[in-house]
Amino acid sequence: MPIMPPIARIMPFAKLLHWVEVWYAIIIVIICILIIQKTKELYLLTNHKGIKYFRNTFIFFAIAYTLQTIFPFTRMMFGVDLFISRPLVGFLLLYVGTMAVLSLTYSVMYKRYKHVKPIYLHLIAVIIAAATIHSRGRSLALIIQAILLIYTVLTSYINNINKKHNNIYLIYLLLFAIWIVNTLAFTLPRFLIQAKIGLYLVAIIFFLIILTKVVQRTTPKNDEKT
Amino acid sequence: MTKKRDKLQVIYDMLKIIRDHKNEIKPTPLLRYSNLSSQRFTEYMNGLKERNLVQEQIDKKGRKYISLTDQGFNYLEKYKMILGFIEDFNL
Repeated sequence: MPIMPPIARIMPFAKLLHWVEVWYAIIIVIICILIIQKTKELYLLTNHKGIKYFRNTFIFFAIAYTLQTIFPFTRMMFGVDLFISRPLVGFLLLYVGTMAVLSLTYSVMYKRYKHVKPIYLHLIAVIIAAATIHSRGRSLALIIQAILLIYTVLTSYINNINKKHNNIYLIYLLLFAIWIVNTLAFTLPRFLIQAKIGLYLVAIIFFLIILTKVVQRTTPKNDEKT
Repeated sequence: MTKKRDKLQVIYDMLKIIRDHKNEIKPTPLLRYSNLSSQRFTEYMNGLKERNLVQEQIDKKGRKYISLTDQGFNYLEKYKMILGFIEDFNL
């Protein structure tokens, strides 16, 4: 058997990985849409700010996963390269990802910062994304997102410390775990395809746990009817 | 209890008063039973109308009545679920 150059050995895996990533993104986007759909009625009935930002988190997650996948997908399927500009795509991804994290953080602490207008969150996300692109790395956005997520988990834990069922922070911990898993999967070399698939599966399971919790809490029980 | 929770509770109380009056009540008794200042009552009523939870009807004698819409009945039915969701997700 002839010795293949490294790139030739990697090529079939690269195609397989593309498909895995496309399916992974499709599954996550479907889960996000289900969460958005399940909470739609609650938001329309109450106009509750917390519910609004909780839903926004998943809207931005869905956009981020779509953006992350649509460019490699169109190139692979139709041979069309939608990459107008790599920094622009990077900027959009960083902006949307940061908006998802900011929305989640704001959903649990909006009561303390009522004066914050939605436009401020967009401005913060734009500044973080632009500064990260300018620094030619992803570290800045990753550090800020990690701090925001840790703050969200801690806030959620402290807010519920005296409550009987003090386990809701676990949901936010799961979202933080998803973020870590995604970051790891993104930074792993492409030839570590099995590790990547494992991380994607973990992320899907975490998303499914959150979806289950949302479905449970948005399905009326008989004793909840008034 | 948070202010937002209070707001949801006030809306629930107002809608329940309307429902308990055979889904037809004049604004003045509703204001009295709601236990709100007239300014806050007007704010809440505007909010309820904007979100299509209540509707105003005028009878043949020109008297104004307030009644629940389907959305209003839906709010009453799902109120506990709404509170449960907000509490469970710490929103």
